[in-house]
Amino acid sequence: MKTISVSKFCVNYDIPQQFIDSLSKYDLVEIIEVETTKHIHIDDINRIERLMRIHFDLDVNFEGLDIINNLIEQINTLQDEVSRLKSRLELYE
Amino acid sequence: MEYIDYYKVLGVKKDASEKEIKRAYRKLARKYHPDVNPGNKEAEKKFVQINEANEVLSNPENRKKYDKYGKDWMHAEEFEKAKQQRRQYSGRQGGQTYSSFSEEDFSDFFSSMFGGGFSGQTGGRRARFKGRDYNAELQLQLTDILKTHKQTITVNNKKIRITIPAGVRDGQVIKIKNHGEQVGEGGINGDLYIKFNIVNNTAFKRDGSNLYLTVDLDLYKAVLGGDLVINTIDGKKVKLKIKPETQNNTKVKLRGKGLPVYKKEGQNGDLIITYSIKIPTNLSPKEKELFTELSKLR
Repeated sequence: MKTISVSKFCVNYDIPQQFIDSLSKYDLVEIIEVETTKHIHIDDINRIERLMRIHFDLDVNFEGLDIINNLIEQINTLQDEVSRLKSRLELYE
Repeated sequence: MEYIDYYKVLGVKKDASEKEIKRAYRKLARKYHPDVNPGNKEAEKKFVQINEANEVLSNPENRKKYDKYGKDWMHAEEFEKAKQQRRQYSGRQGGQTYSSFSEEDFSDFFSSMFGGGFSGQTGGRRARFKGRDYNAELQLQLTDILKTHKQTITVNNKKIRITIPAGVRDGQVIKIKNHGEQVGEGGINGDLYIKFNIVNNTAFKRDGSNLYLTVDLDLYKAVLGGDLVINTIDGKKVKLKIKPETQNNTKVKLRGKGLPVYKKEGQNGDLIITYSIKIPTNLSPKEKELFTELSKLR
């Protein structure tokens, strides 16, 4: 599993490490210890980018990020369900 | 190309203060930001508009220019002037802009007046380690997914040869690693997400890998039994034995005659046939007489 160190990630994006720590505190990102260094999964980068935009561009605090993250997951699940049901509905049209 | 009233877009008065403009933008951005409206194309369009309005109105220089020349955008001389000025301050913009937007995301009106989109970067924070993911849609016909095949598609002027697995479902998204935005050394290229839109060009109805087909059956064959030949989705002919006294809406399952099961080579779903019995019409006097006779036997 590919990871990137939190410090490298934060330097690249010019964000304080505290941001990732706070995301972890709210279970919005999983931090992995690799030889005493904090790392994150590369697969999580897209989600972190999205949370960064919502936090920094829209001034949403961490409680808000947690709520939005849950709602987005629900929307995605519902959209999948809707498209599945739509294709089943075609059977009866 | 139409004049765009940026004040109207943000819902503020012409004499709104910078603070009011910022507040209006933030409020609308929270509502329409693509990150909080996944898959909502209308919200995305709206967000591009409010973003553009904010780019103009939140910058005093742009706002002044817009207020002065906005309605007379057709005056080429002024455009040229605006373009030159735009070039001078290009790269120094630091507004709050959604980073995924490029020049194409701005209206023609905006481009004419300001010569293209802004850099959209926020103070360096947007230095990307991972390139942006690209999204594309590919339309296929139901008969295109009977076999795994390769197809060349063009994404951002780049030709990519992709494998389309047999049995892919409508709306399914596949990820092609590293084919999104390419970033420099030390970074990770973005990924390409392709959504399949499957158009049903057949009489079959689909549910997963199973197919459904309703076939007409004449009354005599339903009563007395017989043979019926049907075409499967791959164009092959299958002979069905119709049992005597077959009832209307009787279903028959043909195992393995449906669509291929996604990523399970050699496995196919079933084809479910529903018989729809057709009652003869325009009966001749002789037929009526015989049916009457038959009815008396019951």
